[in-house]
Amino acid sequence: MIRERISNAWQMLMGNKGRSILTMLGIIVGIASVITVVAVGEGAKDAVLGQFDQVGASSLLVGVSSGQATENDYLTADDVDAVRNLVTELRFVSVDYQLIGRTDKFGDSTAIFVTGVDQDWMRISNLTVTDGRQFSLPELDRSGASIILEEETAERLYPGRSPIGETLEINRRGKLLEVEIVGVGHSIVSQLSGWTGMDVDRLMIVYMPLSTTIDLGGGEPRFSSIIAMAQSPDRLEATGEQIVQVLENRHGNQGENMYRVTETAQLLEQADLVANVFTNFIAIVAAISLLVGGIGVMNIMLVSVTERTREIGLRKALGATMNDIMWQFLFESSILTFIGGV
Amino acid sequence: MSNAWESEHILPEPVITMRDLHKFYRSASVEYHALRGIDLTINEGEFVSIMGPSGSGKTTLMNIIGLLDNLSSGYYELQGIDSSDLSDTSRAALRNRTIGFVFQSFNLLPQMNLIDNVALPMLYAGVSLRERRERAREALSHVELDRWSEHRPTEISGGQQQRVAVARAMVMRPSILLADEPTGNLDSKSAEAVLKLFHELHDLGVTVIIITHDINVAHHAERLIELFDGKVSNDSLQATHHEKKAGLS
Ligand SMILES: Nc1ncnc2c1ncn2[C@@H]1O[C@H](COP(=O)(O)OP(=O)(O)O)[C@@H](O)[C@H]1O
Ligand SMILES: [Mg+2]
Repeated sequence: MIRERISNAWQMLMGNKGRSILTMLGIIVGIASVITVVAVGEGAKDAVLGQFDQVGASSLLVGVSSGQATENDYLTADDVDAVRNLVTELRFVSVDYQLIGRTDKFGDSTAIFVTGVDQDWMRISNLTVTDGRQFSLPELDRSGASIILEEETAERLYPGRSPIGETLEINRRGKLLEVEIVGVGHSIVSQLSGWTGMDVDRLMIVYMPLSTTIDLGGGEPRFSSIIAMAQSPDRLEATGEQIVQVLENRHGNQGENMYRVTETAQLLEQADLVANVFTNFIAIVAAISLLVGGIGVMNIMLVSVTERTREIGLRKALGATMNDIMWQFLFESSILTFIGGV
Repeated sequence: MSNAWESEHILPEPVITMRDLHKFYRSASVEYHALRGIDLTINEGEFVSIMGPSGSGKTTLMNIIGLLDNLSSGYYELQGIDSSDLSDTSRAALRNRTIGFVFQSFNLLPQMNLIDNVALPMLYAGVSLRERRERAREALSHVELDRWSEHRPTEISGGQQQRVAVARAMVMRPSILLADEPTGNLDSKSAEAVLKLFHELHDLGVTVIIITHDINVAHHAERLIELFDGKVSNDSLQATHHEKKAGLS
């Protein structure tokens, strides 16, 4: 008997192919859009979090809290060496040193955001080259005049071609330096730039050997922060405390709370927070489209029940019970949803 | 329960009995008193017309006779069964087996071909597929439309559709045929063909009840019941077309 009812429902659907197909299309589009939205949301979240995974959970940043800091509180290359020698559980240590130069190569004077890098910096910040090559050790040690272009910057300035081998002149307060582009790559700096509000679209982001950058900046610089990577994530806090201790001893500013430790894990948490907001937003969008889809299907069924009151009346007159009618509609909508869903 | 299709001759026995029957339509704001105390008995094998102006309650009465709607007060008995005793399932079964419906607008399902339309009542009666096909074909050939059995309702004329509807109404061999304005949408020639089928059924012993406001159609019946304002205003036996024609020839 059930087989006969199903075949009767099928017959009714086939007898009104136009509406059946449209209804099914509605269901297909509804389900597809929900799946797409959810998949896109998950993908985007994974991509965002994936960038931060590369940083590792074990790096940190010790910075001068600039409020009441004096020139004396800022950090020097000797501080970095001291930290390297005295803090035992450290894997890598480097400075966060950036300066802004200009170039006329691309028409009007363009700002260049230069990040100074050394071996440790590349390890901590995970500088990955996608075109050309990495800096060589001699380049890093002996102030080589080479730069690595950040990927997006390269794409913008050299659309569709490789900038490898090109030279450009960087002007920093009247000081000129001709550099060769040896590679294109990205690091956590460029990835973080989006989060720190840096205008990637207008800035040129490049990496240059730290010693070269310091020379360009004009001799003995003072750094505002050093970056470091601990042996393991669970030693992060202890490492941070040790670094602060070393710095306070050297600068004689114990108890002034001059140095602040930021774990990239905290950045990660922030990013996670952002990602969660994103995920929630996507979830709400998905929920709304599911609701809209559901209302759509309900509406179609309602319309079909209303427009079929005549048919229902007729079937009742021919001896159908309310149960029979309910089953018929259930079978019809199940067939539609099943085929549509598949 | 006696079956008119099997008995050659029977003593008049009431198939429909109504006592002081009232029907109110209630909506949120208004209450309409559509039937205001109907007393009516229709015997097995009668050919009855129910006439009355539009809005007098004819369709309401037919829906109650056919167990498609509930009465508000009073008493209604169909083939000896008190309608107030019936569950939805038994109402459906009683409708299915004892009453054939014919409507003004034919009400064939456009999604199905003619033979499946005719076979539909048998689906609800649980008749096997083979027997359904057989009996539906038989019924279609009785109304001379078996050639069209695989066609859709939209492919045939209104008169032909109404004949299919009659075939559907008789396929369960009901004892009562209820027709609400069956000729209202038909030209006179098609109407004659449909009325001829009604007479054939009547001759087989089926109780035929036609609702109409066409006096010419009403004159096919032996008994004319007139409704006015939800009450029976007149109920009389009359000479039929058949008898008149027989008298003339
Ligand atoms: N479902 C309903 N709800 C409310 N009023 C109704 C309903 N059906 C019919 N009526 C009213 O009951 C009266 C009788 O209707 P009906 O039996 O259809 O008359 P007829 O078939 O004689 O034209 C009419 O005034 C109509 O408006
Ligand atoms: Mg009516």
